[in-house]
Parts: sequence; C-alpha cells; structure tokens
Amino acid sequence: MGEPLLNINDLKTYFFLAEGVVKAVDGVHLKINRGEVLGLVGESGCGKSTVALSIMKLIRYPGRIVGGEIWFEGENLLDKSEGEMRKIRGGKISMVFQNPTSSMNPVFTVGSQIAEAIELHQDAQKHEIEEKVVEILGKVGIPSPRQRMKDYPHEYSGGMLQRAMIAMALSCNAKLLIADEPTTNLDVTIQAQILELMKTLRKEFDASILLIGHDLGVISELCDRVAVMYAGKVIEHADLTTIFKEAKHPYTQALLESIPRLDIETEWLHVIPGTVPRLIDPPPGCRFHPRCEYAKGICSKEDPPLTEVGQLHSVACFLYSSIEKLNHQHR
Amino acid sequence: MTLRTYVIRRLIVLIPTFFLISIIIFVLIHLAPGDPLSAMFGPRVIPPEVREQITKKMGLDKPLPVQYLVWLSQILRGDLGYSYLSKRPVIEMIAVRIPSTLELMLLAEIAAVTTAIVLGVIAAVKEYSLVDAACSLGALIGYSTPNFWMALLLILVFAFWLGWFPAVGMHADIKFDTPFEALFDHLHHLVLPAFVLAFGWTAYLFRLVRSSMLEVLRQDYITTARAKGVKERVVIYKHALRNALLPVVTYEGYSIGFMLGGAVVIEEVFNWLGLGNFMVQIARTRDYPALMGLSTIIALMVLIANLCADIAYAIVDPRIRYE
Amino acid sequence: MGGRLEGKSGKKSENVYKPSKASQFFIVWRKLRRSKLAVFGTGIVLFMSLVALLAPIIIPFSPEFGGTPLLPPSTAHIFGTDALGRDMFSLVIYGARISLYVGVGAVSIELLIGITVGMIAGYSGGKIDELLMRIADVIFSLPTLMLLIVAVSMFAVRGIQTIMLIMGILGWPWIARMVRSEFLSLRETTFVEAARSIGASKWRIILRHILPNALSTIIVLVTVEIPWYIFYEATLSFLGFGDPSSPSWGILMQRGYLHFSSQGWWMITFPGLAIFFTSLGFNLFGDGLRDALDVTTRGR
Repeated sequence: MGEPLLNINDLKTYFFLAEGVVKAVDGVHLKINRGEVLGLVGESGCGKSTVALSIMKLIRYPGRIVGGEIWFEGENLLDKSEGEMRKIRGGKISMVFQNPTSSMNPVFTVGSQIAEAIELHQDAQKHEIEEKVVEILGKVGIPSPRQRMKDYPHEYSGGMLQRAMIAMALSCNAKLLIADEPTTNLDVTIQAQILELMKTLRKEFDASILLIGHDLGVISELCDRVAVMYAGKVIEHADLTTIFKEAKHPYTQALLESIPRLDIETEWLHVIPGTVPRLIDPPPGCRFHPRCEYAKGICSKEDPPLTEVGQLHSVACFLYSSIEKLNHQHR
Repeated sequence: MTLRTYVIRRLIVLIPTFFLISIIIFVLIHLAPGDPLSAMFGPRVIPPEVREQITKKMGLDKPLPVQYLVWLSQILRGDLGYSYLSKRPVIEMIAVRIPSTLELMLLAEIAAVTTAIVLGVIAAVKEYSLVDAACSLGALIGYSTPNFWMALLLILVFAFWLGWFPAVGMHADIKFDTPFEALFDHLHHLVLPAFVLAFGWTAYLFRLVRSSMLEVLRQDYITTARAKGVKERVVIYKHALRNALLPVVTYEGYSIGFMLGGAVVIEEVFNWLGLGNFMVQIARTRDYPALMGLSTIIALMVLIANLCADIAYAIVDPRIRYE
Repeated sequence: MGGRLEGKSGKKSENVYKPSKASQFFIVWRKLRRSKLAVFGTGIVLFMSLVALLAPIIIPFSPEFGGTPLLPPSTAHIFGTDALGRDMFSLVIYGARISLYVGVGAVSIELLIGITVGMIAGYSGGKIDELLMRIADVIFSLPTLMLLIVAVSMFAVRGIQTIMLIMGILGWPWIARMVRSEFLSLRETTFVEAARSIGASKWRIILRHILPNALSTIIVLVTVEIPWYIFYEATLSFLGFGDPSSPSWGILMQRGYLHFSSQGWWMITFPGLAIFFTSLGFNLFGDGLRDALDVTTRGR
C-alpha cells in the first residue's frame, strides 16, 4: 500500500457568523489510500460537505480553515498558494456535486464546460481537446457523444448530466475524486446506474474516491472503508464489513439499526431520540452523549479521542478508551 | 424551436398588441368630456353652422367606435393626420424631431448601461465593502431624485453659476467656421440633458445588476467552476456575468419606456427639440390629431424595442427557446 | 438500542407553535430596527405624514400671506418668498398635504383595481388571464408619463381628484401582475391543497390563505409606489397639466420655473428638495420593509 494518498490530520474548519462560531469541522482525521474508496457517512449538517470543500480549499468567507493538515501526495495542501491549488483542483483532485442540474452552467454547452477543464490542466490542441471530450463522454455512457457535447445542460436528464459531471471530473485523470452525495437527487434506478459507472471507472482510471453520503445502502455498494461523522467529528473508522458487522460506536449502531429492513417484521421504526446539536459553541464532552444510551459521567466532560480497537478500526468513544488511555494519548 | 420560429412567433403577436394599444390611446384621448374642437377654435366665437360643418367634415359627429375605425384605417395606411395648429402633416413634424430624441436616448443608454454594469459587478463581488455601500446608497439617492429638479439644479450650478455648459438649446445661435466646431458645440449642449436622463436609469439598473450578480454568485455552478481550477477573474467575468446579465437584457427593453418618459420633461427643461418636447407642446394646445399620431408612433417604438429585447434574450439564453 | 417512536394514538398532539399576529409584527419590527437606513427612512415617512396632517396648524405664515415678493432665504423666511410674496416654507409644508394626499389616494385606487384584476386573472386562468395580462403588459411597457399627459391634457378643467383618478387607473398593471403571480405560486402550494381538501370554499381560500401571504409583497409595493405617484403628479404639474388651485410641490415648482434664473433659485430648490426627501424616505422604508418581511431570514 505504502503512503496514503490523502491524509487529513485534525482538520478544523469554522464559520464565523454574527450569531457565533459554527465549528462545522472540529478535528477530523481521515486517510485514503491509493485506489481505495472511502465512504464518509453522516446526517445532514454533520460537516461532510465542509470536509470536501476544505480538501479543495474552496471554503469562503465567512468560513475558514483554522487548523490541521491535509497531506496529499506528500505535501500539505494547507501550505499551498491559491495558484498552486488551482492546478490541483480539477486536475489531481476533482469533485462531483450533489445536484447535477444546478451544478452545470446553463449558458454553456456541456462539451465546452468539459473542454474548459481539459484546457486548464492538459496541454492539448483544440481538435485534440474535442476528441478527448467525445472520448470521455463515451466512457461514462452518454450515447452519441459527438452530438450531445453540443447540447446545453437543460437538454440532459438528471442521470445523464451526472454522468457528464463525472466525465468532467475524470477528464484530467484525477487521482482523487470527491463525490459529494452524487446520487441523492436521482431516481433509485438511475442511482444504481451511476454507482455501477463509478465502480467501472474507478478500476479504469485507478482513482481513489471519497464518497460522501447519508445513505448507508449507497455507501455499501461502492466503498472499501467507511468513516462515520457526527457533529463535525469522525467518530468511527473501519472497513466496510467491520462497520456493518462490528460497529462499536453507539451512534453507528443506532444508524445501522434505523435502516428499515424488508426481511424482518417490525412494528416500530428505530429512531434516535433527540436532534443533532447546534454547532455554534457546542457543549463540552462527547457530541453524541445527550442522545446516547450508554453515556457515563466522563462523556459530558471530555471529548473522546479516536482510538484503535482493531485492525484498521478506530472509534471515538469512552466505552473503548479509558481515562488512562486518554492521558496516555495526551502525553 | 429555432430562433427563426421564435422571432416569427413574436412578430405575429405584435399585431394584436398593436391593436390593443391603438384602442388604449383612443380611449385615453377621448376620456375627457367636452368637445375636442374647442382647442382648435380657441376663444373665438364660432357661429353654430360653421361649427357643425367642420364637425361633420372631420367626422366628429359619428359615434366613437366608428371614429376609432376610421382613425385606425388611416393609421394603417400611414396617414397620421394633420396638426390642428400648424396644419402640417403630423408625420412630418415627428420625423423632424426623432433624431434629436434618439441621440439623447442613445447617449444616455450607453452611459447608463456601462456605468451600471461596471459598478454593479464591483459592488456584488465586493459585497458589504465600502464601495458596495457607497454605490448602493448613491443608487438609492439617484433613484429618489426627481429628474426635472436635478435638471434645474444642474443648470443652476453648471450653467448659471459656473458657466461650464450651456443652459438650454441644442446648439448656440451662431455660425460656425467648420462643421467640426458645430458638432462640438452640439455635443456640448447634449451633455447636461443626457446626464440627467442617464442618471435615473443608471441607479435603477445598478441595483438590478448587483442583485442579479449576487444571486448568480451563490449558484452551484460557480462552485463547480472553482472546483475545476478556473481562475477567479474568469469565474466572475465568464461564468457569472454571462448569467447575471440575462435579466439586464429584459430590463433594457423596458428602458425605452423609462427614457421616453424622462425625455418628455428633460427635453422641456432644456428646450431640446425632440419628441418629448413636442408631446408637451401639442398636449398643451390640445392638438388632438397630433397627439394621437405621436402616441401611436411612440407606442410603435416601444413595441419594437421590446421585441428586440426579447429576441436578444432568446439569443443569449439557450433555455428560453425550448418552450 | 435507540428509542422507539411512541404511537400517537393515546397522546395529545404537541402544542403547535402558531405565532400570534402581535408577535409576527414584533419580529418584523425588530428586523426593521436593525438597519439604520431603514429606520431613517421610516422616520422620514412618519415625519412627512405628520407634517401633512398638521399642516394648517404648523405653518408660520398663512399661504395667502402677501409679503415682499422674491425674497431669498432669510431668518424670517427660511425658504424665501415667491413671486407674490408668499412664504415658501409655509407653501412647502402645505404642499406636503396635497402631494401626499395625491400619492396615497392614487395608490389606493391602483390597489383596488389591481388586486381585483390580479385575483380574477390568477384564479380564472386561461383566456381571461391571458387577455388581462396582455393589456397589463401593454400599459406597463408604455411610458407612464406620456399616457398620463395624453389622458390629462384633454381635460379643459382639471381637479386634483381627476388627476389622482387617472393615475390610479393607469397604475393597476403593476399591482395586478404582482398579485397574480403571488396567486399562481400560492395556488399550487400544499397548504392550499390541504385547505381545499377539507372543503374550504373558493372565497375562503382566497381571503384566509392566499391574500395574507400576498400581503407582504403588496405592502412593500405600495410603499414604493407612493413616491412614484408623488413624482408623476409633480411632473404633470410642473409641465402645466396639474391643478393650480391645489398647490402641491409640483405646482410650486411650476411657479418657480417661471422665475428660473439665478435670481430665484429657492423657489424650485426647496419644493424639489421636499419631493426628493420624501421619495428617499419611502424608498428606504420600502427597502427595509422588504428585507424585514422576508421570512427566510430570522430576526434577532
């Protein structure tokens, strides 16, 4: 395996609003290896998209990355200048967004928007660029790519447009593809198609993918490993089977239990009581403790660190790390 | 549908709209009670038989709907009638004055559009900055200022007190040696009226450009562009502006209504012999055929301008044709 | 692990938080207070309204007072005197009454016609809607001032009421369009569907559901329309199409124009200043109101 492709260490991104400071991402640790697909799961508002935008350094006023490191291919992205980041965006790291219809500029043809990406990151002549666009559109399964590249985004269906966005993202041979809820806004049938597409493309382009979502079903289709986020922190981190079979964090367990199942008869849906905490000036201690069945005294006072509990399996919970371990780690 | 189909469709719609306008103009003019002829006669006492004769000759004794149809058929043949007071054909009087108004409006438009777009983009990109606040406040003040008051104040300051610009008129009353000098003098006279005319529209357009740009900069596709590695300047001027200017095109269609309205009073104050000035003159004398003729011409101008704006919009927004 | 959702059969439904009219007003008021400019604008509006209402009481000189003509501003006559020796300050104050009266009156007429037409168009749809909107578009795109001049000029004798009436009649397209679009967007919302499904009649739906939502748009519109009508009346009067017996600011400016030279600048400056000031106030107030009524932002 070697060096991980992406290594996020203690990332903190805050938003400075009039009402207070929103600690959207408050100490996140993530690792993605080459050729691996990592799923980032969590409820709406837990900070997943902010992590994605932070990696791309696309956080704008009133937000700011206030701490941590993002190591990519051996370099800390947070040290890079805007000009250097521009070369990386769309080139080495690219992103696919949730809503394809609003993510494409309506006044330019789809082909020209893809061509723009290619122009920015590759040395190619006009006709070469055109060929590349046709090629990449074909690869993502768009029929008659040569005609369709001259069409405008509103002439594409949602699924087709998402394919085109993926095409745009992969057009410059990105090493890391960040997909922020790419299938959430699509029909279930289209969802399946897009996931299949991503599986195929991942092999063909040998790209790593950071797949962000809230649907564990979608995540399970594609991911090798999963990181679970809650209220701005990663609270569990393991490979796919482990997460589903041996989830240790109470939140992860609750999440898994709340997936409706067709094979078991139940009367009531499992619901996690309470609501996600406001990220403005969060209370001390574990962010999940107000809703946790197993909360003990220390949970409301200290923030549990991410501790290894098995082979590549880490959890941030005081059920698995004691005060001694806490002190040990703080040494 | 193709652009051609769209244009043809819009042209066809023009016809019933024109008829509608003609009805509105006719109704407005005949809204007032009383005899339209009284203006023509003035205070002179006319014997009833003569009055009756003239009334019959002009067809004013017929019921209103008939009068309307008669007038309409005249208009469609291009006959705008004769002015009561000067006895000259209305068309001629209008034609002579069109260029003056046109040049005034053109200069004002160019100035207004350029200023509004430049300032609007800057204000939006630097939202909440001092520049933004200053421009927005300036726009609000400009929007609230009555144009004829501003015109008079400018004349007071720049013509009477400072003497930098002529107060009224389209050119000085002297003979020039070269056409170049004459042109310069004319432009010298054009500055103040064009400035006042442009000011109000600039204020209005600025707010539109700014809010449109702000709206566009919030869109997802702007984030996508940045995520592709596009330079921020290109993001603003290529990706954002193109979209932000779409509503501006539509509003520019409305600008002719605004400009013509403004021209009325500005031409009057500056004694600029154009259509607006003409309208005031014939309205004061209740020269009713001239009034009907001028209204029709102006309505036509507005219709054509709106059509051009619609077509221009259809050209720049690829979504609109596919209805 | 995790909680079970208790059945609602036995439990009373939670208290639905329904903000009372009073608390809604306070949220708007609080948000309005935030912007200094909006507060300034509101102040001007209130000030001007007060001046208009109290005009006969507060003027230092009677508008008929015949003093020395054509005096520049001084301590005795803050705004100077006009050609007939009348005190300009009093005239401007009295003019507030007339100009505001015309503005508010015209807007009321416009509202009446506009809301009716807008509702008919919005609710009927189809051919009626199309026809009404076509007429509205036409009137809307033609220069308002010209339409006004054409309509008003043909009257040999003009009263202030006539002018007001004509302005109101020509102004309905603006309001009608707004109301109609509110109507259309609200007609398809789920809460209207819900009301319909429990059997609410057409009129009930209109009055209790749709109109209150459209109200905020209408209020903002009205605030911005008033200065426009004051301006139009002033322009008409300035050009000579007004009612000389009702000395609005426009009439004052027309009189002043006759003596326009460096020897009489105060006669047009101050009435015009009054129009400007009032317009500014209403526009600031309207802007602030629009932001305050925007339900998507929370007041603090």
